[in-house]
Amino acid sequence: MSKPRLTLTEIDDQAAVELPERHLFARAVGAGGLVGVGVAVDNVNVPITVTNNDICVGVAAINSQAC
Amino acid sequence: MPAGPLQDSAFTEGQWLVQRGERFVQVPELLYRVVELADGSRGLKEIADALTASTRWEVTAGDVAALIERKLAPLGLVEGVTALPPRSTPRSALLLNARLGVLGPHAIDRVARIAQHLYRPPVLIASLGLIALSQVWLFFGAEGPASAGRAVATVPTSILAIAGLIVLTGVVHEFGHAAALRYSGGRARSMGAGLYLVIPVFYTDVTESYRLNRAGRLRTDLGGFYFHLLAAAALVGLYALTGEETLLVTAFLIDVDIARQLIPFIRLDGYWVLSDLTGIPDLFSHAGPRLRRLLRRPHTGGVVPMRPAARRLFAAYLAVAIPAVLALFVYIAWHGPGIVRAVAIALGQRVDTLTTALDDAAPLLVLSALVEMLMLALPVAGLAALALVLARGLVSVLRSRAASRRGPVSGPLAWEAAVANGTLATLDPVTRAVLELSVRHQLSVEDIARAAGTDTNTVRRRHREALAALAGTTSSRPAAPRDEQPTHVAGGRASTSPTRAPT
Repeated sequence: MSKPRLTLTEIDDQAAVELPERHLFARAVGAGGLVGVGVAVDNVNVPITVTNNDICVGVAAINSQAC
Repeated sequence: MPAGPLQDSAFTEGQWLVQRGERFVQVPELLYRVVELADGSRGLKEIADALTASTRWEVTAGDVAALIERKLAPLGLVEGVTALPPRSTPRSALLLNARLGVLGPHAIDRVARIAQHLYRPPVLIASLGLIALSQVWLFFGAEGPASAGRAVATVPTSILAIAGLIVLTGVVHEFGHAAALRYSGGRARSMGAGLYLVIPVFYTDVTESYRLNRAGRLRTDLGGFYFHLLAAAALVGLYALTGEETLLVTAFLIDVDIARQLIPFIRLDGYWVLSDLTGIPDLFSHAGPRLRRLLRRPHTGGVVPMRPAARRLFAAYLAVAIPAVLALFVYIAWHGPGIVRAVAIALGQRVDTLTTALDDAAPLLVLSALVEMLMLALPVAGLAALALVLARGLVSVLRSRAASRRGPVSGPLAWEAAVANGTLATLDPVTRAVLELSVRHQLSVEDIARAAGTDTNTVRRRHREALAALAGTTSSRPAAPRDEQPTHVAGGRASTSPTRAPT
């Protein structure tokens, strides 16, 4: 039994897909959200003796508000 | 280079992999067989005969020429008649940027070939039990992460310890991927750091995992979480012994990071897990051609048919993912200036802290300030890198549009219009080849005749027919279907048979 001719449509329908490189990640920076997460999760009241700088690190990373 | 079948895929017909440099291209079986056979030792006729014997079609040399020129040469998989460089596509913003490799394959393998034993079933089961216990204790048995976080927040230099532990456990996460790939029969190519969107990340190149079956790919994808949670379990254990709260806080941050990584709408670990669960090797790569077809835009890539269940799942995914990614980019664009402003102010405050620490000769505070400044600056660097990638993509799109406005019969876009309009399907392979070489590759009639090994009059006649067909494309008039014209091929070069005049 003879085989069917390869048609021009079938040639056009041959789909090749370029696959990207697979890179699996781990975040390199995460501690910046530390205090922000703690404040957000636990509604913590930070003593006024703590410098605001440490809070700023986390808050700036979370919601881009300057302290 | 042929790389074997794409295993456990979601497509109706078997798919295969061809390796091109560091990357893979997914192709159907017919194209794969051409790549296998086009090793330089066979002419077009021999390749055609071999394909006829091994596939379900009767294939002619003209068909092989069309497959090479239309499909394989533009991707750089096989050298075409014109030997032009393959088409290049702009780099996606959803890929890793600003990449810095730190470890090569040999260095990675020294660790991975030992660590892979953690995937042996008895060890894996025991480890998962340990992870479960540590997680329960983290949230219910200890003082709790929020309380520990409060305590840590009052110690300015604690950020140093946490940053160091985050980096260390991040490296462990990456070796989890590499070890899983090793266990499954592949090798990680490199490991390093880079920027993904605006996020500084560590990465492992596990591109080899495309060759694995579904279980192997999933193991590789989830291996990072496994090792990361083992590291968290170790930190919880150390906390139980020492009472040092930074350990508990870091373990909690690992959980937060894993939860974030499960987001499947950008290429984080969760995205690849979903890709491999569905059997679609890369969701975004298959989205492009489908969306272009939906929007009736010209495209040359083609759409690979999926099984019905996979197709429905993929459609549902795109319905959620596309708005999510767009919203993410809008969010970044909207908040970008505010983030840069806030970071600039915070950096200024850190400079004051740094100056004071230097004056007081307090090395730990100096180091703490420097680490904080780096952590603040890195996301801004990510923003800049993302803006650059998006700008390049936009320039590329604008150039394509400008080229299409220059004239109706012009280069690649006219070709793509002809493809979309169905004009090419009405032409015989020789006329199509002449059309492509003249319109797409901008060759003269004389050059085409030389390349094809035939006389210029024949090529000129075919060229006139091809341009007439293309003019029909630009006036949006559909061409009438024609009977196919068998191509007489000799010696691997296309030529017309004097007994078969085109209609």
